[in-house]
Amino acid sequence: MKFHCTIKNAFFLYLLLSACNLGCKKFVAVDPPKTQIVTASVYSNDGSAISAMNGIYSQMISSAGFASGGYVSVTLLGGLSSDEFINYSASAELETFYANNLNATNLTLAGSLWQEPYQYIYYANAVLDGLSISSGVSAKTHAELEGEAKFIRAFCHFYLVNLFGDIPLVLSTDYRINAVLPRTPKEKVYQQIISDLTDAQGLLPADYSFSNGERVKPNKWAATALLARTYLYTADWVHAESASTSVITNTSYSVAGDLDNVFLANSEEAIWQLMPVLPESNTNEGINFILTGTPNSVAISKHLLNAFEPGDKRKQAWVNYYIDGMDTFYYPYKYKIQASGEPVTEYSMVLRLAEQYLIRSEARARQNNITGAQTDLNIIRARAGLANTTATTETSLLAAILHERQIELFSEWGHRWLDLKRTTTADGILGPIKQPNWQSSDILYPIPQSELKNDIKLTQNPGY
Amino acid sequence: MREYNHSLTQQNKTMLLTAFGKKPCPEVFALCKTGRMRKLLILSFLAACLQIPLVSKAQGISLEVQDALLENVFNLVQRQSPYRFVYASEDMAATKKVTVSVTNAPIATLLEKIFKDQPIGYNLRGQVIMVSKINQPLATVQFYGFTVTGKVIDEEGKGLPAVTITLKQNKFAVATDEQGYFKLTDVNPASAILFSSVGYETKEIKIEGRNNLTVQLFRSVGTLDETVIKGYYNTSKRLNTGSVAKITGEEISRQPVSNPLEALEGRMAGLYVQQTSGIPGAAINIQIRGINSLRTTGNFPLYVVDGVPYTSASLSSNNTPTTIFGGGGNNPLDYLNPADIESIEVLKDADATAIYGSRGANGVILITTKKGKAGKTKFDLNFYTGAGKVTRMMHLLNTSQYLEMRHEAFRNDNAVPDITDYDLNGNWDTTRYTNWQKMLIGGTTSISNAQATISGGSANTQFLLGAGYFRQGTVFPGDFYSQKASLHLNINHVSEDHKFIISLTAGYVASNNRLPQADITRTAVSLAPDAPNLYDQNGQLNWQGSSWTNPMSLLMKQYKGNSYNLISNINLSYQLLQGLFLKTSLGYSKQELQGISTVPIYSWDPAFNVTSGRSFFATTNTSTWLIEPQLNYQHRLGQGKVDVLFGTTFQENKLDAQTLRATGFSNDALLENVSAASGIALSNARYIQYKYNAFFGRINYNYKDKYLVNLTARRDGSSRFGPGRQFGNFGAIGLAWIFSNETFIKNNLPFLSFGKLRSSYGITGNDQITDYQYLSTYSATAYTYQGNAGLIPNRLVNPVYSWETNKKFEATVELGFLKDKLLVSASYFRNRSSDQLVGYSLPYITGFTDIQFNLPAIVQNTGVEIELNTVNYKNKNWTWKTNINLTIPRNKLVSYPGIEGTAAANNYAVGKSLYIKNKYHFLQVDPNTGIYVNEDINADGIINSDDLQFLKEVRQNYFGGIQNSITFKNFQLDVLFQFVKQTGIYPINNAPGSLANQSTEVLNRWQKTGDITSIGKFSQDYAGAVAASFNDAYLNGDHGIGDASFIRLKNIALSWKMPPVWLQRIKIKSIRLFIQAQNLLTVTKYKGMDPENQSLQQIPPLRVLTAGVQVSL
Repeated sequence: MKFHCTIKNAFFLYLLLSACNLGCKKFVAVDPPKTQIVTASVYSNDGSAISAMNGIYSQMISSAGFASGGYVSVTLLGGLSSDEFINYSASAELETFYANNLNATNLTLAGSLWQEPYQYIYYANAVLDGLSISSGVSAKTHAELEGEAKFIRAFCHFYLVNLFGDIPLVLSTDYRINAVLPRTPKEKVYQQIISDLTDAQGLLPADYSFSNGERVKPNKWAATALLARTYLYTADWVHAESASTSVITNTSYSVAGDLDNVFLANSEEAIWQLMPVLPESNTNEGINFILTGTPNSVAISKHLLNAFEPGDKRKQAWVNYYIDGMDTFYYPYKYKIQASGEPVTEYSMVLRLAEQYLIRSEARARQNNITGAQTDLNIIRARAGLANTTATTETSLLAAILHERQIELFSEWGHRWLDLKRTTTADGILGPIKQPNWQSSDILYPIPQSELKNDIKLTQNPGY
Repeated sequence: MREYNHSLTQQNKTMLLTAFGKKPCPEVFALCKTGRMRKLLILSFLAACLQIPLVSKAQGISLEVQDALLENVFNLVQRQSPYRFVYASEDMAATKKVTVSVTNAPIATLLEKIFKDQPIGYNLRGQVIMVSKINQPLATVQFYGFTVTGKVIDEEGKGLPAVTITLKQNKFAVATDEQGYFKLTDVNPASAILFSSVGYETKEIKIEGRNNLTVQLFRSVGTLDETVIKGYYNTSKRLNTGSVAKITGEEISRQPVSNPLEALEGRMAGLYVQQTSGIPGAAINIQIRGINSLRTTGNFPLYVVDGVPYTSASLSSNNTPTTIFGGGGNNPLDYLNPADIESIEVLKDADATAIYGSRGANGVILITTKKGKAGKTKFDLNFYTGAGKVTRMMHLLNTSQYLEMRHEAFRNDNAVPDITDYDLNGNWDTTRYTNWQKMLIGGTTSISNAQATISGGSANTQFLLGAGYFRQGTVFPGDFYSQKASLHLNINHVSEDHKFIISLTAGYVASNNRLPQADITRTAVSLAPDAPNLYDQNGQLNWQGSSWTNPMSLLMKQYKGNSYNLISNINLSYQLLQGLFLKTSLGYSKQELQGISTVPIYSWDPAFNVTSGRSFFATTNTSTWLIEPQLNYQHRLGQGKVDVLFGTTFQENKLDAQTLRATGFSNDALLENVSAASGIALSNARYIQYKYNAFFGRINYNYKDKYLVNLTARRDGSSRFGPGRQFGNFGAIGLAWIFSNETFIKNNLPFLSFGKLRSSYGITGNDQITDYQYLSTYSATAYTYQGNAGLIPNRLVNPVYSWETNKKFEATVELGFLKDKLLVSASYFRNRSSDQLVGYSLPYITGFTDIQFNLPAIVQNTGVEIELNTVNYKNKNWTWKTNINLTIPRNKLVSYPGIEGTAAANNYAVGKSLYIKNKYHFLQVDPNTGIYVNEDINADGIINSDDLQFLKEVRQNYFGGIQNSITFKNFQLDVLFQFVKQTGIYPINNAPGSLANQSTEVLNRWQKTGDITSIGKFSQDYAGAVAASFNDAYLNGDHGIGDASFIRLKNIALSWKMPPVWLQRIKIKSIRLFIQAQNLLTVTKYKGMDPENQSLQQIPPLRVLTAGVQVSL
């Protein structure tokens, strides 16, 4: 009896194990983690789809790199490579930016100026992909997000093509295609940037309703402003003038009368700002530039300091100094708040109206519209308390505009570095002051070494 | 009692069942039997004693069988009656099958029927039926009327149960009871008695008319019959078909370590353990037979504690920002109490690891905790205390040498000190000298450890309860420490009929770390010797005009971690039929780590105007549950034994981790109170669910203890793979031939006491990759934008990757000479790992750095392992034993199709080992310029990536340990030397000449044209040519790779036991005093700090000296 009972037990166990066998496929299937969302469901509704764009802005401003205005941003590294800053950081990698002695193994370069913008391009392409297969996102949001994604893609390509020359143009999320992309000639990159921005102009709202009235997401006018800059950089003076004109004539924007108000959150001059997201913090520029002791990052170079004309109010308003015993260190003071815990009153400026006046001025000068060019330039000079420009020829005007850009846009987004490059004045200006390392080929950064290894179709820039 | 007793050897069973036994019936014990059967007899007799009902009355037996094995008939009779058969399995081989049909028949009738025409006979004594060969009649009992009683004790004077006591006169045999007592009746007073027990040396005593004997047995020197735990079953070293190394709890207890893994260093062949730091709980690198996976995170062994898988991943790596534990985060095995461990087994080859399937690809480390034993309730107290210091310091420049270097650097660069050259520009007092190593890492740490255990129990139920406390400080200035308190509980119960066994083990360890967030070793070696005072006149931190980061401010950024570790398991076993057992293991473990990292306002230079502090608050929770039902069947088949195991595993792991970043604390005193923060953000959230399911089986056949086959198979499913890719099949075969059991060997090679050849081959898998890689998902960004959540894509997705496979081969010869006083084993192994799950490197332009892929790359680890155990000398007072192990590992990337054009080509080269470094090759310091010159392969005048070469490796050429163990009367001395022949990296700070101290070695620098040296000229220019060439030579080049071999007096332990006569007076069972030391001496030519951790970032392992006492009541 007992014997049979145990046989039965064993048989039951066998059945149980067999049942388990069938069920085990189910057993090892797990749900997606709570901390992650499956891609398809991200684009199933407006809210999470908008979050996918918010993620890009949040990353852009919270890293220390590319677009952050921080320690290894375009703002700082471009400033070091040009004549804006002196390096006081102990980082050997930053020192090579300052000494125009970069090599392809520089990790700061690879991480902040190459990898990061390409990462945002991927994110933007992922948004475009996600939207293309989604049916749950409303038409209005769909258009806005598509416009934002194309804007970001154009914006990142713009900086890449300026810093590195010909670059791979990435328009999809498929790694099998992207991993073997060759460099695209910069003319074609610019064509794509213009095409993306033109699309974005048509898709994005003309106001800031989609960002609660705050100027913290790129709208139609941000796309137009970047388009104006792109036309300028590609010597399309007619379009540069028309695009900047449409921004300038828009009543939402005006040149701030008070220099201290320019960089405030949602200032009248702001076309697109990135909003600080780190808790208790204002902008990275404020944290990074303001000196309360001997500098351990950067300070303003004497070339920049000496470039201010006498009586330029911007020297008082936007430059400050710290005296350490005998030495005085000057620093950019466009952003006034360094300490943590202060209320957030400053946003990091990406695109502002003053640049649009300078773009139009230059485009007009190039078209020999001397008066028009003078008018635009003088608007910027007048705000700085300076007399009208004395330049009357195209050549002298272009020189005056380059100088005005140096002063107006210093310590913003590497403008100086990009200007010296596009105006082919780098050798003449940087050559003498960046001895002994300066070479003409330094105007383009090297393609990161690891990238050449991983994408066999890439080639290196000359001089590296 | 043990968990898996059913596969113990017969000898072990004797002990086992005796342990169950009640006070046995010694009278009945005095039996005679042939020598080789006596143990069996005792076994069965004990069983009989236990199982005879108190009231027994004659009852009939009903039975109907056809062609049944005689043994099965015995079993059936035993099931329905109190009668018990006593027989030797080998005698059953010749018996005939039985057909019988009886109803309610008396036992005598039945016996007559079933023994009819059998080659064996029987003898009915009460309810015991003795079965034996007919030609060996049961010995007749002679009456001497002389009785001997006595006690058998072990080396510690404790009673030894289950010792077999055989009278030489007539082979009568009895066994000792739980307390070690025995009684022999009808003894010839002139005869001699043999005392034998598994694991002890057999002793012969002449009675010489004495009535009372106390006999001490010593542990046998041969370790061949020691139990080896091999996953789901146990075996002995003698019968093992696989490769298993073992360390006992006793060996662990001789080492004052916090993490049990540290106790393995130098003691096992095939296992390399590297301490990365002297911080208690810090990361430990462990490699069982080399690195198999190209993924650095794919080389963890599987840890199993009492049958339940234990996390190999650090909890702190998901936790608050702290680097104090080193790269991999704190080691999770530090949450165990070494004193609770009974043994650690390391499973190396396919035969041993295949039963763990995919999880065993990199070897398995089985940790078995202490279990209760039957006997008098016993208290054990153990306490030690001691001190530790770092093993080695660097020889650094003093102030005058340093200033000489700096001035020369400026002269060389044609430069003058500027405002940031504080050490020279008048800011710092150049007459100062501080030995910063001594100041910052030269402290002495205290270590204390206290353990108490109470254990005991009856034959059916045993228990053990242990409690422990351990505390270790750091060598940094300030009150930093790690402490842990633990509880360990084990209860075993066996049912009255011995069919049902339950065993519960639970351990709980609470630990508490209070440490700096970052190690300050690098600061200690690089601060200029004329750097300012730490404190100003007012006792405040001295910032010397913001000219330096005061190192004490680094120590103010603190990390506090509280961890709680529960490991519990229940093992159930039920005997369904004779030889058939249903077992189930149920396990649950949970680890929790709560960490707080604080950055107080006071840690900032006041010039920075920081007005608020910040903290990180983090919790990490992991839990694992496991259910493993198993069926085990043991049966005699032909002249051998077959042992079959079939089971299934259901396992789930969960990890849930969150880190909050809290900012805006207005007061440093509130930093640990999250509610005092003005800003709180979620800075990290992780959630992982991992599920694992498997079916496994094992068939073992042992033919006459001569030929052994062990087949293992496993089908594994893991949630780390996408749908359709989850399951993989793995298996192994192990073969062994114990040729010393062959007659022709016995006859011709009498000096050979043991000889075995074994070999194994098998395939295991590896799924140690990040979870969810096959899923396309988005995660939240750390910070919201306009108060709205941000989402970003997690990864590029390849849904079709699957298991990494690892093919292992091993061949071993094991030999024993001089009655096993000399045991040698030599193994050759070859592991080939393919389908490598490497993040396939992608260019950044794809948006990510890599994608998960099965690469057809093959990594091969081969090696030779040699172990030698000898008993050099042994007499009444002296024993001297030596264990030597040696491992010679080799590693090679056999193939990597398409390596060109991938990032792997930066690090690896086909045909070379994975330990190779792709570096510039340093040639010389140019005698004309003093600049480091690296080989310019393509002679294009620039050193760039085209000039990288695979020339030097950073690896172990061979390693091992030599352990000597000497006992003299009550003294015992154990000495372990660890030796490692290896190349290592000599980490170096900055180019000599910059604002950082340097090794005195740099004084041998280039100074003038024509100087031939390996140190370039001093330069203080970060971006100058010298610094660039220095970086290329050291950081990107192979200049810093060199010999890092060392011989280390790893452990020395001296103990003294108080003689029993003294103890009797104070009524204490035993007292032992001991001194222990770890890392006492190091012999090396290594240029850096410590050749083991080879780091300037992490503090070297500590040299520890402790003294303590152990008391048993």
